[in-house]
Order: sequence, then C-alpha cells, then structure tokens
Amino acid sequence: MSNMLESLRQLACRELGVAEGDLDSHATFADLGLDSLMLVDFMFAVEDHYLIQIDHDAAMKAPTLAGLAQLVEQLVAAKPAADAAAPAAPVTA
Amino acid sequence: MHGEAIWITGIGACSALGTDAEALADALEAGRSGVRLHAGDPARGLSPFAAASIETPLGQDMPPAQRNLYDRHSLLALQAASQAWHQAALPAQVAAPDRAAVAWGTGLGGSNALQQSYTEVLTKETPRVHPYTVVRVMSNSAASHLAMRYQLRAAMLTMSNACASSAQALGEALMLMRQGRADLVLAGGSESMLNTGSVMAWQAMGVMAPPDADDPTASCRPFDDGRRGLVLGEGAAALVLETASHARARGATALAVLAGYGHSVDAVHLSRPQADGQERALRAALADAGMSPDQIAYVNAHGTATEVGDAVEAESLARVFGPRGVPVSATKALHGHLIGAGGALELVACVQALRRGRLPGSAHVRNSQLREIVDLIEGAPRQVGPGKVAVSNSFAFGGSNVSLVVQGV
Repeated sequence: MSNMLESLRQLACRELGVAEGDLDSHATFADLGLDSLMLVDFMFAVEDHYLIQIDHDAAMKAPTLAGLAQLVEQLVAAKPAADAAAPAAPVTA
Repeated sequence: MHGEAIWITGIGACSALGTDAEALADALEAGRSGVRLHAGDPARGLSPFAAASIETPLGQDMPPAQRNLYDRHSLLALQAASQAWHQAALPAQVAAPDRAAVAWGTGLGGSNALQQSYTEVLTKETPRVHPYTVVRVMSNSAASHLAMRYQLRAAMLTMSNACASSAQALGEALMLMRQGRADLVLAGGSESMLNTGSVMAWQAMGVMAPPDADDPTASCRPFDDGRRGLVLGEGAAALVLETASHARARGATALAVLAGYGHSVDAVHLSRPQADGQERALRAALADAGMSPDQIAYVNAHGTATEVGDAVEAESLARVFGPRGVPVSATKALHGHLIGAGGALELVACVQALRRGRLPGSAHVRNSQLREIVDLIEGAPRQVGPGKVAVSNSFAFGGSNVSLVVQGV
C-alpha cells in the first residue's frame, strides 16, 4: 500500500467515522455509503488536508480510495515548490 | 372545552445557562446570568457586544462527515430534543411514526451556514461553496433532522415568525393534536445567530443594549427604568407533547399540561409593538384554556428590555390582569433573547417553575416606574403552590403575538 493511500485511509476513517478494517480501498465511494453530497464534502476534506484542488470529474474516473490516492499523489507532486513545502494538515481526532 | 388534555412529558433546554433544563431552572432561580462581553470585530465595524453564547462544543459524538450536515442551530436542536425525548422515556424511534409529528420554530434558520457561504463567495479568489449549504440554511433544516432521527412522519410544521416562532410552533402543535392528526409532537425551537453579519444587523437596528460598563452580565434589564435594549442569546428548547391517552397507555406521567394558545397579528408596524394585539393574544389564550385571568399565577413576559416593548407589554398585562394583577418576570435578562427559540425556552422555564413551586425573579431591576402596574418578581424566587397556571408571552417583529397557557400538575 502506498504512503498516500495509507494517509488517505486514515483521513477517511476520521472524517467518516468508520473503522480501518471496514474501509475497502477498492470499493466505489457509492459502495462505501457516500452519496453525491457526502462525496463532495469528503473531497473538501481531502483538499483541505493536502492543500490541493481536486477536479471532481477527474476523481470520478476512478471513484475509489485507491484511485483517489493516485490522483492526489499527482496533484501533490505537481504543486508549486512553495506550496509543496507546506506540510499537509495533520490528521487529528 | 376541548377534547382530552395535551400533556408535556419531556423537556429539554440548551442555552448559555447550561445544557439541560435543570441547569436552566437552577440559574434562573439563582439569578445567574449567562450574558458575557464579546469583543466583536471592530475592524469590520462590529462593536463589542453583550450576548448569551454557548461555549460547550456541539456534535462531538459525530464524525466530521456527519456533523457537517448541520448548521449550529440544528445541532442545538438535537441537543435539546435528545433531553426531552430521554425524559419522556420514549423509545429511540416512535412506535407509530404516522401518528407523531414535529413542530419547530426558528427565526433565521441556518444563518451561520449562510454567512459562511457568503464569506467564501465574496472574499475568496476561487470560492468553494459547501454542497450542504442549502440544507443547512433552510428554515426547516432542524425540523427535518428531528423528523429523521425520531421517525416523526405525521407532519412537519416549521414556524418562522421572528421572536414568536417557537411559541407558535408549540401552539400549532396543540391545534394539530386537538384535530386528531397526531398523538405525539416534538415541539420547540432553536436559534444561533451570533455571527458577525447577523449581530451587525441587530446593532444597525439600534435595539441591542450596549454592554454595561460595570457589569456586562447585567446588560439586559427588562422593566428597569434604565433598560437600553435586548441582548442576543442562542440555544434551543424542546418539549414532548402527548395526548393524555397516548401518554397513559405507555405509562408516562405529565410534567405539566399545555392548556391554551392565543395568537394575534398587529398588522400595524414591522417592529413597534401594539398593546391591542398583545391583549388579544392573551385573552385568546385564556379563552382557549377555558380560564379567567385570576386563575393565572405567573406570567413569563416577553420582556426584551427595549424601552417601548416593556412599556407596551406592561400595559397589555394590566389591561388583562388588572394593575399588578399577576406576578411577572422576564427571564431574558439572564438567558438573553433567543429570538425564534425564545418562546420554547421560556415555556420550559415556566414548566420548571411550576414543577419546583418557585417563580424566578426578574433580574437586574434597580428602579422601575412600571412597578406601578406590573407586579415584578424581584430578588429571590416567589413560592407557588401545585397545580397553578402560568402564561408565557412571545411578541415578534412583524406584529405576531403568541401567548401560551401551561398548567402544573
């Protein structure tokens, strides 16, 4: 499992209030119980955490945590140097 | 006379005086104020102000993804409703959802969520408006959450009549039950508008009391000669109403009986109160309860501490009850003005006063010419016997007047 996917899983557990073991990285967001509004809300949390902007349509091409991890990894890597120096917000309870 | 009695079997309250109905009653009896000084935001033009805010974190039992669904006024609604539901000893969800309803009042609804959205749109280069904005802001947001949580499917009444909202929700709930359309109603109201935009709007109206220089907690002085206006509060209050037969069938006991509801409209001015309209609401409530003025042991006044408002209410009370004809206090001095939630919170205060046999005083009164016509309860609570009857007044901007009659058991 990539570091990004692990990080994203931690974030999802905290935001959604689910146990780590109940989170299938390859299940679709719909199968995880996220409706369209909940999904946008979750994307906001991801954006705030990694200080990125996610294109919703791009995220929906692979609508799983594993797919999202790849996209987030690309977006983080593509951030300008000054932004990239900023650490991601810590995951806190 | 109407059919069977409508019992109050559960109460809940969340305000600056505490997060339950016992804390509310304790503070009112002790004359402890929940008002404090807020720094404001002078750079934006928001002067320091006195307000009764709730400092306890809300929704901490939910993960962020769930908590994000709620505006603050809806979180407050959940808190108060949970207490009332628990006290009524009801199951997690009602046994007969199609016979259970919700009636909820709020003045501004989700004003915090609205301000958050406008701030995003008007100040950010690339605004990101939250997808829950509409469902947080809408006036029936709190009622919707309560309906889903407790499976209340018979009806959803959302009342938004400014300061009379939750009082009217309770009154209309009473009507609904008398019509036979529900056996149980979760009724009350919630309000939270202590955000920059809303407070500045109230300041612009010129009706907010400036913070008292010596004691900000005493900034709100209903019926005092030196009263200078209202102090905003935030919070929620909820009451479980049941037909007596429904309550008896499940072994529940009454905390009090909601006996009467009177409603009138001034149709004269947006913000100036009218004694005529208030008198009509009071007389309608007494007639609805089948009671005469001399049967009333206590009035929880609307008493916002505006110069005109208190004087007009003193006049309407004197017309109905006679000069100094009934003990009166205005508890807003301590919990602030909860606007759309005020009527419900003050009805809970009445229920508590009748249950405990102690009528709370009207705090912060030093000198009052209105004492000539109003029997103000001052200082320590005044004793009252069992089975007595109280009236709660809620008079709103827009000219809507509501009086509720509640009888102790």
